[in-house]
Amino acid sequence: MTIVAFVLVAGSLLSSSMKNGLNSTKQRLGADLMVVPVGYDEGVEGILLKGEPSYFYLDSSIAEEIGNVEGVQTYTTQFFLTSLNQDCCDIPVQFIGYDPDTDFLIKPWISEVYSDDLKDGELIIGSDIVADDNQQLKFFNEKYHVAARLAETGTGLDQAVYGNMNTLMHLFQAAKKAGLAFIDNIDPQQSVSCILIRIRDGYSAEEVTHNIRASVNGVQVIKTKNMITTTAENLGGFISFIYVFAALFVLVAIFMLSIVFSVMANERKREFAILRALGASGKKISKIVLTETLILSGAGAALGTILAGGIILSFNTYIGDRLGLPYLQPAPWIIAIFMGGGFLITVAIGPIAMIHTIARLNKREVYITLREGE
Amino acid sequence: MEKKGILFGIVITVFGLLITIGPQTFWHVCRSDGDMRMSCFYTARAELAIGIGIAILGIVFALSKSQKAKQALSIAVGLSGIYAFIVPNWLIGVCGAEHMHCHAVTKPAVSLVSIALIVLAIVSYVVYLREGVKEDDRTTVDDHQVGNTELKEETA
Repeated sequence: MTIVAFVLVAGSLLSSSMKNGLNSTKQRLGADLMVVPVGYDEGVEGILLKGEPSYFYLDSSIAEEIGNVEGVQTYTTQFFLTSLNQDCCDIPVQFIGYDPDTDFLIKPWISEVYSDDLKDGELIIGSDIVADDNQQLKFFNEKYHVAARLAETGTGLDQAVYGNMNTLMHLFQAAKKAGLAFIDNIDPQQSVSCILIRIRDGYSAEEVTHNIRASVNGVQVIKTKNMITTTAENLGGFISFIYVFAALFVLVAIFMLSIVFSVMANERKREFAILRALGASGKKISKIVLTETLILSGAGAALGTILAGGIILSFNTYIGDRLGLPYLQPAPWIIAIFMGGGFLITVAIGPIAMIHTIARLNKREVYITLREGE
Repeated sequence: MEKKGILFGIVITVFGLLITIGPQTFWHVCRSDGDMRMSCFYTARAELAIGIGIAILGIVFALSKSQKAKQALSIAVGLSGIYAFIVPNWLIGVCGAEHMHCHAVTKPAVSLVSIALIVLAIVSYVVYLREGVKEDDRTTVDDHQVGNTELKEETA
């Protein structure tokens, strides 16, 4: 019973968190196409889905060329940078610089938590980044003011820090001063990391991708829908596996328990026969047996539910990291429904497995049962 | 020695050892490079001491014969469990960033073991409290029977 409750609750919490993470990713990817340097499609996926910091650069003139491509309605650029592992307890952070004049992606999220325009030197942080008590963060030996913290998305964007292009240029220079040798050859004023595109109505992603490839060299075009579809397909397979596994588990549990209960009832048949001889009705015997089963199922289900909830909810961050997929814990009331549902289904398994045994107990002749073996 | 007491003692000792060894090994805190030490380092140190204390309480529990002593030991184990829980959660804490190993693994692992230990301490306290009550009842009945026998002998 404990194992059944554990599988049901843990399975439903895991699948719900993964679905939630995917929906959150869909909402966050407001662009139709992303243009990155050739070979860096995995880098973008790492940033968006897994929270793996990355950086890569294109010449900023490419953005202007893309703006003139047929089918492109609007575009904006972003600039990426990562921090260093500065001490034992500091993880590298993804910096994302956006252009406030053209941005159509990041500003809507920021407006949910911060109504003013982001000033130079100010940062907005993802939900996993922690600022100090003075709302400041130190990067490359310089302190930056944190204007607001974004809500949790369950994606890699929770581990990112956002600023306007001027702030990112400042961070870039500071990084150079701090000794980040790999950016020595980059001119930040002439570089962008990623160009995000919205397609004009009447054009398909394939058409615009073809147009971009025909007019711009040395870039890779990523269809964001495809990126999500691939993740959704992987996730769909995994979630189906969880459901099938849980359903099989419930069926096997009902089958096994009906055998166990049957054996137990057989061992106690004289006890029940004596009760019947003393005047207890079949209904009374059924009630006794069902109550005992409910107590057993209830205790097992409660233990399994508490264990599954405790483990899955406590290790939420670790599970998300290990899965490498968008993972966002559902709202507390949904968690309560899953835990309550798992508990009730498991409690119901006991009486369901007992129905056959009760019917057999009540059919048995009292006299014959008492004289059996004499 | 009664089996139940030995079993309780062994489980308490195992939990104590998990609290001692866990933050140093399988659910380790963040690795410290050089002199820079974050709060999780001190949490692991504190849990080491608390865990050893709990393991010793478990051994004493298994060896103890008195029910009163077992009740007292249960209270001590429960309080140690509370202490083991509040060290990573409030008293000392762990690193702030959610994805750091100490935050994502050490804190929930120590918290779950501590909660299990507190529940175990409550269960063992109730078990030995009830056994103590039963023992007292038996003693009262025996005294009463001895008194009746003496009365009969005197009458005879």
